[in-house]
Amino acid sequence: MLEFKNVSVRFRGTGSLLAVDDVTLSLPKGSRTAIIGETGSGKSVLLLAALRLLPEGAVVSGSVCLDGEDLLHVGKKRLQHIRGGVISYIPQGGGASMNPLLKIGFQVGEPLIVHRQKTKKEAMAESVRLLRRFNLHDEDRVAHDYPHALSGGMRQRVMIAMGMAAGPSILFADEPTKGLDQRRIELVEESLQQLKNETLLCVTHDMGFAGRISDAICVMYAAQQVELGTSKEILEDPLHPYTQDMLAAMPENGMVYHGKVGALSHAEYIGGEGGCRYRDRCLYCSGKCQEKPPFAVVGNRKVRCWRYVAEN
Amino acid sequence: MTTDKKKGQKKTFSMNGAMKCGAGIVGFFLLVALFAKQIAPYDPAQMGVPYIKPCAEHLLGTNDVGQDIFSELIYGTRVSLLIGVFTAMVVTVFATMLSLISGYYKGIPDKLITALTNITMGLPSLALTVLLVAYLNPGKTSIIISISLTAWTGTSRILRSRIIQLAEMPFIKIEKAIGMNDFVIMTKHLLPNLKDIILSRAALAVSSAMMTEAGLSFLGLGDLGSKSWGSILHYAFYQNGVVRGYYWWYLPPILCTSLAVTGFMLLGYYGVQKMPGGKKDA
Amino acid sequence: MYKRVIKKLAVAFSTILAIITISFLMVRFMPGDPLMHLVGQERYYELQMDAPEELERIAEKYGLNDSLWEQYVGYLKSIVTFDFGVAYSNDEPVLDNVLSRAKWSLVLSVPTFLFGGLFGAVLGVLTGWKPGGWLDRILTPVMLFLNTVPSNCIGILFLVFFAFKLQWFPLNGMTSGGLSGLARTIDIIWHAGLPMLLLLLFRTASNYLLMKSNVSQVKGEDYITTAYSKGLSSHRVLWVHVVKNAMLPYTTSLCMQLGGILSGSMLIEVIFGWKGMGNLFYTAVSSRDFPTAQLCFLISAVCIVFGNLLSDIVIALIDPRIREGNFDY
Repeated sequence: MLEFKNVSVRFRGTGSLLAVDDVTLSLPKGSRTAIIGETGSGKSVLLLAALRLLPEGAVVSGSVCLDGEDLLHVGKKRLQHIRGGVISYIPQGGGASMNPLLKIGFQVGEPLIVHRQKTKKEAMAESVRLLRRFNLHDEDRVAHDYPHALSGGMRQRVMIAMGMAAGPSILFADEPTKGLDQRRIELVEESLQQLKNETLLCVTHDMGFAGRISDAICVMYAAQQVELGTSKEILEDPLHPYTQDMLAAMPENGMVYHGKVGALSHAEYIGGEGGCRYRDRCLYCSGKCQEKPPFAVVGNRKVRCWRYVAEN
Repeated sequence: MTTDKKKGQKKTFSMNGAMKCGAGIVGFFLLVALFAKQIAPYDPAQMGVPYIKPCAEHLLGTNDVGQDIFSELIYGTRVSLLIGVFTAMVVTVFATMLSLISGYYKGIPDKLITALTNITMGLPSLALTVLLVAYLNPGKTSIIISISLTAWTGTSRILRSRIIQLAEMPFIKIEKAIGMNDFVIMTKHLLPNLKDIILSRAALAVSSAMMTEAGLSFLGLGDLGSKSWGSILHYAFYQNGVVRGYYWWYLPPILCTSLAVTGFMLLGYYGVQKMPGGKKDA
Repeated sequence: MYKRVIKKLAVAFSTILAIITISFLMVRFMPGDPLMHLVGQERYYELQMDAPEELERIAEKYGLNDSLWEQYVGYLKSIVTFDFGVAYSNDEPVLDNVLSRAKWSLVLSVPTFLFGGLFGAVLGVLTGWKPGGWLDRILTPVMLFLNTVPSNCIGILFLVFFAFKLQWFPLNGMTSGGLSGLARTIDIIWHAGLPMLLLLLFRTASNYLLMKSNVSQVKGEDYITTAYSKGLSSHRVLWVHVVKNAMLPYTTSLCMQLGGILSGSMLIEVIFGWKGMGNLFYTAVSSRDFPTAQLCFLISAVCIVFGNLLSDIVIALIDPRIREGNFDY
């Protein structure tokens, strides 16, 4: 059980700007959760904050509890044990996320060396098996090659294998489909299906992908959570106007876009005073929206919109 | 660093402590060079009683032929700065032109210029400079030419890679697509974006040119007509001023050279740190 | 990889050719009679007084009356056959003179190259990894200063302080003379102490600054975050992931420094009267002994070209991206 409670992240030197604004989220054992949001909505920062991987200038408040133990305050040794051993972080698959000078097999097997006291050789043999399990053919050659030889889709699967190496129980995946085409996305999906009892928290901006791999979805907009519920409910019956607009704009739903474009970029919303951050782009905007809406419970999900507060 | 710098604001011209310090030093020496005539109490060439210790009449004493060292030093500022700044100008202008051509047009001109850069980087710069200065007609011009000949490669490399990045950016591509004159694109759009790098590289170029000049004139290969700081040190060393302990003779040129070179370095060093690196936000 | 090596060899070869051409043209187009540069100024005047027909003969030998192209071909031939003429100072072949001096340069530069490379790397890794600590705040300004101020300035200050005031070291020269065996070796080391210390400081300073900036740059890369996320200790991140990447540009720079191993310490050699190749070059230049100066120049140039070539090969050995040729610096 992993629980984010009122997590906020601020970067020093950017004033009162919050990169993550009061996020509360709980991940029961074995659950599959997706966080959806656009670039800059703070979703990746949330993952890094939980494992204390943010650069030094970041100030994180709130708590991230792993079975009651607050990760933001555990000791160094314990944190190192948790990173990769209990919770794995799978970075975005950009070219810079793997060390260019070390063999792929070594990097995949490295968690085994530090967490399972394996020798370099054993770790290498194990990582060949891992690579095969996560759909990389020709795994022997891949393991002995260097990261520059990988394509984007392969690199993503390699990193999933790397995250799974030491057998963690929780997996954080950061935009695993970024920059991949449909066929590659399917392969990544297949790799994620390999997970059995692990808890998954996946950050993505691809709603279709999120629907296929998760059973709960949390939608973020401008550093705040705006909607939280089961995947089925959110995709079939979205409540928040932002979620509705996003779904309507998907190709399979006819790419409908109402064309109401906000005057402010969302980065400016984050810095702005209270009020709903989506109001300028929202079709249902009313005077009430100048005030900050609460993250209210609606049925068995939560929505941050005045429309549903009024109804109840 | 205690001062809190604002990040990401391109236009504001803010200086940090180190840069202010550098600017102060450079400003001081520029003033001294400008008003050398007014500041110097004597004609630096005028001879008199040799080896006078520092006193009220001769602030820094006199040398082996009785020239006032303080006045020599003041006039030496002119020579040292002049050579440093001129060399830096030649180097920077040359490097900027070459890198514009090679980074903007790419293709064959780029290949040729890159090859030229690589070959020049393979030359032993100090040895070549010494050889040229020694065998050309002695004087400021040959010093400037000799130093410039190999000093442009670093700036040119840095600028080229930056220009290649810039040329890929939409605002430059659009200008190209609408058929804007290449010269206009370079001067109106590329150069303003390179301003920071060019200025800081120029400051560093002054620093290293002054350093080389100090070495050359220390070896006695400088301009024989007008003494720079390095030449004062040359005489102090070769006329046994150092071994006889005439500190007022060898110490001032050493301090001035070190201070001025450091000043220009601090000015340029700040700019280098401000340069856009490959940093992305997570 | 092979394509790359061949390409780099081509650049190296053209650089050497360019250097030879420069030194050829310099003699022909410099102010004054080319013959004077070829035999050295003093000998030229000597011969002009005593034996003008000897000068005629030398001019004939160098083909100064032929066309420029023929002279150039002749010049290339003499270089390929290691015929650099005879030094007027001691009537020995110039090559022998220069090589015997080069040996003494190596005495100074090899140890300083090795230890400077080691110290610079270790200190740079320490402060680059944890910037802002006390070590960083002390070392960085000092190293920056050492790296900026002309070496002759610091050299003279050291000479005054350590040799003149404290008298820990001799003022000048390489040996006190009249010694042999172990005593002589110790004497030479004593004489070499101060210039060696200075060169070591300069080397360490520039290497330190380079390594520090490499480490702090690598530290911010995405793959370092990845490494931490796997639960590695910061020790392991540093030694397994950071250092190897930071060593890449560092090694290149070391190889390039290797190119300056003969000619790089000219000013220090001159100040301390160390009879190495840099000093010989300086004496040759100031006494207008062109054959000697030219050979020193050619040798140091060839060293630098080989240093660059070596750095290209070494970097390809370390970096798999370059080794496989789909990445170029």
